[in-house]
Amino acid sequence: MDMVIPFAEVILAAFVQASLQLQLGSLLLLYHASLGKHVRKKTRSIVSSYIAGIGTLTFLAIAAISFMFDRYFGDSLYPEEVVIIVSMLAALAVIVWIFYYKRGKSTELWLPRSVAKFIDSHAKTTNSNTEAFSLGVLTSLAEMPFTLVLFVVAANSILKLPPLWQLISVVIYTTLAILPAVILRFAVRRGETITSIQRWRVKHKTFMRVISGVGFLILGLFLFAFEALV
Amino acid sequence: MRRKNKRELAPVTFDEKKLREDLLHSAKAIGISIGVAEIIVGKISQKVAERLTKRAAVTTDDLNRFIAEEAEKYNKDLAYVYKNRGKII
Repeated sequence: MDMVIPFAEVILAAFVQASLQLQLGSLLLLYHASLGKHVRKKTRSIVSSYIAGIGTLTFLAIAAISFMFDRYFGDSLYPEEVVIIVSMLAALAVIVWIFYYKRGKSTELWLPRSVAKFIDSHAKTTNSNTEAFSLGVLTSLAEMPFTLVLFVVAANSILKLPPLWQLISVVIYTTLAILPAVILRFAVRRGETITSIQRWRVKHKTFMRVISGVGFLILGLFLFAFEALV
Repeated sequence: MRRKNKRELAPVTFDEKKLREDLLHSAKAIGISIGVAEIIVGKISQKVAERLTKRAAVTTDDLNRFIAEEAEKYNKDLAYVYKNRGKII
């Protein structure tokens, strides 16, 4: 039981991150630009580098936050600090429900337009694996306003696990966080087109918004019940 | 109604050669074969160029809409790409 709760928090946080849409949107832009310019093998390699960029930043961010927590906060956060995190998760749930997606039949996100244009233009001009890796890192950074709290939750939970399981948990978190991008990559490989995937995203936009919002809320309640009240 | 940003409203210089290249890339990306793509692209870019000669200025949004309207006649996926330009993230 000692391990179950922290591990469940890590997995839940990873699923919430996986439900966010910026990495998928950027990946679609990258896929579209790359398929138009390169052979499929080169495109697959570019897309893999992009996913590796997201995974690397996620892994390093959680590892760094875990290290900082271990160094400066001890093994776990005080209940007051947990309440602050829970409040932030609740606020993010509301933001995701109301603001995250823009209105209309598109998957435009609540991002500063300059950031969206920057990612858009870089996705279109990416020609090498290094550029794709950087784009993955950049996309993850752009999503940090939503993911940073998730990293904090995950890092706090990871520190409650035995050393070997800490590493395994970071790997599992990273794997789950990049899972939608990996699934999309295999969907394209199996013959799905970029337009059919985008149509699916537009059609299920409300569903994705609800899933993300509820995910943030459930994670907050979970954290409150098992960290603040205990 | 979506508020348009300055870039979407800014006038652009139309270049038929660039449009052909862009259309070919998009067509290839959605899996249209090269032969078919070249025929479709030729027809679309010609029609779009004809429509643009009647206008003094054109914005990126207008241009994408014209391309989408012409592409709709030949391939719905290609039209979808241009209808959703700048609306993915």
